[in-house]
Amino acid sequence: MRIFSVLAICLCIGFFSSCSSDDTSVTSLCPEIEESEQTALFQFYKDQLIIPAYEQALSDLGVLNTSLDDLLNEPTAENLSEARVAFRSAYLSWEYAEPYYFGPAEDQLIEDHVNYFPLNRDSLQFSIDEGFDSDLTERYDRGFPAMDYLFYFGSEDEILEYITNSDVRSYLLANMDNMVNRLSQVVEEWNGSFGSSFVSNIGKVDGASLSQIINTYNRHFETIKRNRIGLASGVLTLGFKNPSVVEGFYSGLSLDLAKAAVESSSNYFYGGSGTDSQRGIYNLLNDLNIQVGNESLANKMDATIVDFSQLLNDLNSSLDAAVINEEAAVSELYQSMSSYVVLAKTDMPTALCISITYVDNPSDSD
Amino acid sequence: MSRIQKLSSYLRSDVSIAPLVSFRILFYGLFLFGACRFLDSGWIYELYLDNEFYFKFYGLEWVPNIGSKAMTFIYLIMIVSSLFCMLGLFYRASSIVTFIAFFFYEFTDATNYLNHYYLVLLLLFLLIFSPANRAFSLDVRFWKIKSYSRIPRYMILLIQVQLAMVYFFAGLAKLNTDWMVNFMPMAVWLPAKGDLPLIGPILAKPITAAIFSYGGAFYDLSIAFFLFFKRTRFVAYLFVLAFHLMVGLLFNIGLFPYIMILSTTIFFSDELHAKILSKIGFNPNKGSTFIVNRVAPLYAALSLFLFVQLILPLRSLAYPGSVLWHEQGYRFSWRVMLIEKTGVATFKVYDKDDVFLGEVDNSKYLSPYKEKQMAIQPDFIMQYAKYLKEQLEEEYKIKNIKIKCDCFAALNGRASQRLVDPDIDLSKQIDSWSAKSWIVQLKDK
Repeated sequence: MRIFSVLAICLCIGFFSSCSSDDTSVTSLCPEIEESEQTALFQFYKDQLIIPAYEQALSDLGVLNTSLDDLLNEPTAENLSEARVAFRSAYLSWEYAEPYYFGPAEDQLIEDHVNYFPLNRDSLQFSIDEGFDSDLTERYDRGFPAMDYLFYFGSEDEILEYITNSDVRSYLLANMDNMVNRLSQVVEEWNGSFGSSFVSNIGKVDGASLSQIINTYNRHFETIKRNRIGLASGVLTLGFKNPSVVEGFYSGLSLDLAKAAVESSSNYFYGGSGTDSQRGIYNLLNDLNIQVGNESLANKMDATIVDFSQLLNDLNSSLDAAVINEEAAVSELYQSMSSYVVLAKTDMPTALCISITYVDNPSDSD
Repeated sequence: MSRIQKLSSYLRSDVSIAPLVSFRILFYGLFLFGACRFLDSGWIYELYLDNEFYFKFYGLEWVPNIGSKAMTFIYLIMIVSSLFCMLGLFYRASSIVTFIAFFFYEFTDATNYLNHYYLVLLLLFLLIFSPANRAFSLDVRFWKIKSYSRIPRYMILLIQVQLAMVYFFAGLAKLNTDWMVNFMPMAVWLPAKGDLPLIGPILAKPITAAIFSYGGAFYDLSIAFFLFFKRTRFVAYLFVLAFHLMVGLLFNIGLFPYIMILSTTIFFSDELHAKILSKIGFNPNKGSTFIVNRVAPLYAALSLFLFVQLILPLRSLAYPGSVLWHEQGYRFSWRVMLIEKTGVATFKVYDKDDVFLGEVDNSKYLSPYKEKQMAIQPDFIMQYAKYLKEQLEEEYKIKNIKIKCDCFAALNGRASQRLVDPDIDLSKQIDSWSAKSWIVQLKDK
């Protein structure tokens, strides 16, 4: 019996000593979210944001497809300029579909095939010579970035001449087909079985819809911060700038694309444009009354979004020029986005009890 | 007889070698399985990439990064040597080789530290010195080496005590406010398993986290005692089975449940082991009795081992603040499943006059998994800062740069807060046993 009293004493001492040594209080712990609340949120995301964004992207891609056909059949300056207009709107529309990288989009590796940038020109040249392989990934040779180059790399005459070359022509067509096929697949899945399972996939498990939303939202935001702004600005290379790595470098669309990306990221957060949207992560955080320090987390995030959106809108030239001419402004923009990552990647998931799983332990843990 | 003499004669009193033989077969058998599983999973090629930065343990920085090919080779060696150990063939050499190979594996990359690997390493170490091959082994059969039927009790007791310390310290580590009052991190982890059939809805209930927290702490603190005493042993073992299988089902902890389930069979009596082993050909009466000749060096070695094992888990008490937060003295201390922690660490580079040069793109130097681990553990943050200084100075042909870190981490449901002092040049800090003054202590309202 003596051993048990010793044990009991150990227990008590251990307990009280640890209580006194680190007195803690936790701001909010895993608030329950009503089932109906969750399904309504997912339904809203699906019907109001995700499917419309994908459908718009697919329809604009269809327009681009037609203009590309016209251009290749009749390579005139007029057709080139029409194709460029169609390219611009299709690329911008894509920005609004890009955040939702889970489920069918992930199955189709849609990002790889539609918008992996910066373009690798050697890789593109290789694929033009050897033929387009729709199964390859991580090639940086395809999608919008490839068209961005092929539509804008030189003077109109140079371009018109180059794209009628039979290898280039078949490359452009195959690339287009690949984008259309994959995107159609995604739209079909969202309108079908995946869409309905998304709405009913409640809970906090890895892979549940809320976890998908929080994880992909963060992932997308980091691609804006790092790939769209950071890498070009030189902030990640000790001041050595790399203007040519911006998205849409050849077409000069970089700033418009970045604005669209930030706007689509914000839409993801608010569930539409701004705080008065009916449902969204913003409202969810507010309804659950989640506080960080003495401030509402939702308000803190909102204020930061407003801040960096404004900083981005204040830039005057395309991003590749801005990183040189408006260095201080770009740096301020980047810092503001950095401070947002802390809120979005640590505070928000912690408060909602969602694990960040897009970076996960490959083996066992303990 | 004095108490010391009583203890000494108890430690040297002889018991059947059967529990040690069982342990040899079960433990090395599971080790063999684990090594095959690891090799088969392809983790080596995910985790041990060549030419990458590896985080190290303090004092073990000399363990080289050997790359995935050499690591595969080490695993092949471990598979052969542990098979030999299980069969009791060239036992002494094989057990040493297994230990050394696993030592290299375990200490190559500190971000892959797992408490149960450390336990395995300690048991591999103890087994080197045991006569586990002196009965029912190929060494005895082939080379006719001297076999023992009886061995001194301390040989069994030492393994039991080692296992008991794992449980007890794991229990002690749970006695903190996060675990006992806020039920963290169970309150986060259990609802995340809410989609399991049957038990899912139960796990999602808040009360379940409380039951798990108290049940887990009580289990860890007491199970070794209940296993030790004959009257409670059988029921206690049923709890061992139930507890570890359930935890294994709920969490991604690999082979840990099976290590404990198989290892704790050593608490059963030597008669029971002898009885079961004799069904597969073990002869409990074959061989002589192992006699300890030189007692003093033996006791000195045992005391030293136990002293180190007692001191290591308690060393965190020497550091101010919450060990869950600063993680000084966290490893090698049987602290398991205590923290849900996420962090974001942004490294900033300054020249010698404190002019800001830029930020570091962590993904360029670290795998996503290493980055995730680094951002929550201060000593890794410092190691990485030192590496960055070296790397960037070479890459950009500059000198005397400073590396500072904006790091925010969120622990067990708290809002994120600074983990390290953002104004300190981390690349200049020196790792040691002393408390790291540049860690910003956890603040609770």
